[in-house]
Amino acid sequence: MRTAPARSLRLRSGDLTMRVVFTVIVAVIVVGLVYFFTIGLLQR
Amino acid sequence: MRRFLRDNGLTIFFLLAFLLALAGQAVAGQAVFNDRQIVDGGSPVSLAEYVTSSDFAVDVAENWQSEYLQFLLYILATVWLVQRGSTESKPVEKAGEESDADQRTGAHTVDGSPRWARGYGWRRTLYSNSLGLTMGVIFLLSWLGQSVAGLAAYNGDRLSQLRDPVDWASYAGSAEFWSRTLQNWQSEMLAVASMVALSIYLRQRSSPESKPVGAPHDATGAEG
Repeated sequence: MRTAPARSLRLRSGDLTMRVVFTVIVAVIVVGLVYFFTIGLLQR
Repeated sequence: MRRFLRDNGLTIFFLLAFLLALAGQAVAGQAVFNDRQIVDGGSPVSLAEYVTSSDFAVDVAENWQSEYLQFLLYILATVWLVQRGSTESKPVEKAGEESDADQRTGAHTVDGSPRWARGYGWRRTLYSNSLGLTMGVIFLLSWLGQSVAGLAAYNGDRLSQLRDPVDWASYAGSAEFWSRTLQNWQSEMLAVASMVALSIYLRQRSSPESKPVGAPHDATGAEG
């Protein structure tokens, strides 16, 4: 009974770190795309 | 923290390498830009001015779009096309759409399967194609971003030469736009073809991009 919660906690922790890198990559891509359009449209 | 770095080292390494390369591109690009400015009788720009210029934006965007196109084509082509002996291909007999059992969808899900893989209908269809769709959207937006930033840079050059600016449609059909586009596409396609074909006979010990060193040359889709 004591090991099951600990294991599920570790799994959640692992999920969190994967979500962090996933979110960072998505953020980099979104920032890049917004940058292309902002620069292009502002400097027309 | 150590565990975080170990578990996510591959992404973190490439993200840092991306930032370093981008910074290097900005510094080198500014030097080239200022050199051209001096030759053309213009005044040099600061690094901040250069990285917020359309010249820098189009150079970054044209490389982004080609990389995402490369992965998009790779993801889609490997559904239907195979290469016997390549670690980049699935087994020859699995070419094409696979069954629910192969893909662990619908009634064949396992513990830990994503929620949208379990059901039927549009959610499963969308999730089943989410990687390709996302890479495709990023490719199209990057390519469109290249055209918008490229138009601004191109018109900047034209105005400095006392020539009329062009509209977006003219730029999208111009030799300038397609030269920038195709010079990136050709290298991506050659690199993919090389990876597919070279992995038949060559090995990189312990890399999942290679088959095991001792695997036969005709083993297809094996990972080491």
